[in-house]
Amino acid sequence: MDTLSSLANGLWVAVQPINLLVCFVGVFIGTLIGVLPGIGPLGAIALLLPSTLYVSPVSSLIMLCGIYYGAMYGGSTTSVLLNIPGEAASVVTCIDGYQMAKQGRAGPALGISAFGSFIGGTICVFLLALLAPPLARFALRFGPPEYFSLMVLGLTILIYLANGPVLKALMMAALGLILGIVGTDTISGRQRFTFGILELSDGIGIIPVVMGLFGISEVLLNVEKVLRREVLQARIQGLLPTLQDWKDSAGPILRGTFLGFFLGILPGGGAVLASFASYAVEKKASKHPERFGKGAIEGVAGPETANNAATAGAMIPLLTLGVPNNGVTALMLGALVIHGLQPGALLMKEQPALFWGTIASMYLGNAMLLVLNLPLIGLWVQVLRVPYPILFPLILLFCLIGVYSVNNSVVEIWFMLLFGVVGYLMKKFEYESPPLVLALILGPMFENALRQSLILFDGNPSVFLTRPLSAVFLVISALLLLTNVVPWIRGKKRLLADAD
Amino acid sequence: MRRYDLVSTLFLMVLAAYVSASGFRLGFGEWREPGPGFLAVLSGLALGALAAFWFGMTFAKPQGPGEIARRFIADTGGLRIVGLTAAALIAFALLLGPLGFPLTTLAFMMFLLRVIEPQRWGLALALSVATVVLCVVVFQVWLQVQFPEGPVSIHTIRKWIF
Repeated sequence: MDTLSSLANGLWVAVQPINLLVCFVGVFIGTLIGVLPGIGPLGAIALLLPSTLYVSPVSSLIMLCGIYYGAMYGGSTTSVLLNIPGEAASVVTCIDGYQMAKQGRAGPALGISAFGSFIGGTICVFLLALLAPPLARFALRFGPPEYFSLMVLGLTILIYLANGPVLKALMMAALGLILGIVGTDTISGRQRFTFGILELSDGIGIIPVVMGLFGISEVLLNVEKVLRREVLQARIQGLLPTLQDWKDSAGPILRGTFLGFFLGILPGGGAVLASFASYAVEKKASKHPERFGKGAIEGVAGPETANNAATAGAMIPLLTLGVPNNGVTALMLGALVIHGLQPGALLMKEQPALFWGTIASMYLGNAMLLVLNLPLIGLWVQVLRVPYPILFPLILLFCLIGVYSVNNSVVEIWFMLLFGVVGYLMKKFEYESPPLVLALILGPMFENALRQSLILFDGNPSVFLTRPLSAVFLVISALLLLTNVVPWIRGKKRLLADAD
Repeated sequence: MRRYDLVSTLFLMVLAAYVSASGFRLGFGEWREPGPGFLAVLSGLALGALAAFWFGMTFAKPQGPGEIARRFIADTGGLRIVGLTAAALIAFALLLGPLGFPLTTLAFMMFLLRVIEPQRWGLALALSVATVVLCVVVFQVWLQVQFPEGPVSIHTIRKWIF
C-alpha cells in the first residue's frame, strides 16, 4: 500500500508541466540520438548534463532517464532501416529488422519495436517500484566501511564490463581516483594538485571531463572517417502489426520484459546483454528457428523489449545503493552529485519526490515514446539523411556552449578540450573512459569513506573484511576481477610458451 | 598496438611516480589518521604498479606474425581533418573573449562547414547565421547565459534594428 501511495505521489510530481516537458524533451532527444549512428546515449547524456543545471534535480533525472530509454528505442530505427545499429543495444535488431525492411515490412518491425518497448518499459516500472524500497531499506544499515566497499564494487563492475583488457580499465579507474583528488582537501583544507588555478580548488568539474571524453573525442574520431549511410528508400507503411504479428510477438515481449529487467539489475548486465540474451532465448524457444535471420518478427520484438526493460532494471542499483552498473547510469550519478544530492540508501527517504517522481515519469515517458515514434517515423527517416559534415559542427558547438554555460568560464572550455584530446588518445591507445569517469565521480566519496573508516576503527584496514556486508562486497569485487584477470593471464602465458 | 602500449604505460608510470611523490609531500599521515596525500600515494602506487606490469607483459610479448603495425590515423586526409577540427576548437576558446559569442560562433561554423567537407557558400552561410541566431535566442536570451559580448553583441544588434 505504501508503495502504491508513494507511486501515486510520484505520478503527481511527474505530471507537473515542467516535468512533462523535460520528459518529452528527454525522450525526443534520446530517440534522435538513438537514430543517429555515432552518438550513443552516453554521449548524449554527457552533452546534455549542463542543461540539467537549469532545472530541479527531479526534472534533471527525469530528462536523463528519458534520453536513456528514448535512445534504446531510437536505435531500432537505424537498425531496421540502415542495418547500422544506432547504439550497441540495437545490434541484434539489425539481424531480423533489416531483413523485414527488405521484405517491405519495415513498418511492422518499427511498430512492434515501439509496442514492445512500451509494454516492457511499463511492466518494469511497476517491478522497479516493488523492488526498490526493500533494497533501499536494507542499504540503510551501511556505515563508512560498507560504503567504501560498495564503491569498490561499483568501480569493479564498470571495470568488469570493459570491452578491452581489465588491467587497462583498472589503470583508468586509478587515474580517475587521482583526478578526483584534485582540489581542496575537505579534512585539512590543503590544496591538492591545483597548480594555482582558482577553478581547480573545487576539484575538476565532471561536466568538462565527461563532455571532453565522450563528446569532443567521439567527434574527432568520427571526422577521421565520415560516416556514409544509405537509407532504405522503400516507403514505410502499415506501422501497426497484424494479428499474426501480435500472436508471434506476445511471448517474446513478455519474456523480453522479465529477462531484460533482471539482466538490467545485475552487475555486468545491461541493455546490450539483455538484447542478445533475448534473441538467443527466442531462437531457442521458437518452433521455427530457421526463420531467424530471415526476417522473424520475434527476433525484433524480444530484443527491443528487453533493451528497454533493462534500462528500468539498471535504475535499481543507482537509486537504491548509489552504484551505477553501466556508463549511462554513472553519468546520472554524476548529475545527482552536481545537484548536491547523495545517491544511495537515503535518497528514497530524503528525496521521495525525486525517487518516485523519476519512477512514475518512466511510465509516462514510455507512453510518450509510443506516441512520438509511430507518427513521427517519417521525421526520423529525414534526420537520418542529414549528412555528418553538417551535423558535427553543431555537436561541437553544443559542447562548447554547454560547458561554458556551467560557470560562464572559458577555463572550463580549456579543460573540456584537454579531456577531448585525452579521450581521443585513450580511444586510439585502447583505454576506456567509463571507469575513469566513475572513479572521478566517486573519488571524493570514496576517499571520505576510506579515511572515515580508518579514523573510526583506529587505523585497522581489516575492518573492511571483518564487517560482513563490507566483506561480501569486497569478495564479489575480487571474484569479478579474478574471473576476468585469470583467463587473460593464462592466455598471455600460453602465448609466451608458444613463442618459446 | 605494442608500441602504443609501451608509450602509454611509460607515460602512466611517470605520472604515477609524480602523483605518489606529491602525495608524500602533501602528507601521507598514518593509517589511524590519513593525511591529505593518503589516497594520492595509494592510487599513484596502484597506477604505477599496474602500468609497470602491463609494460613488462607487453615488452616480453613477442610481435605476433599477423600483427601489422597499426597507423595512428588510417589516412593523411583524416589527420588533416582532425587537426583542423582541433584548431577550430582552440580558436573558439581563444577568440570567445575578444570577439564575443555571435562573431566567434559564426566564424567557427563557417570554418567547419567550408573546410572539412566543403558545403556551398550559400548553405554554409545560411546554416551558420541560423545557428548563431538560434543559439543567441535560446542560450543568451532565454537561458540567460552570460557570454562575452565582443564588438557585435545582442545589444548592438538590437540598436541596429530599433
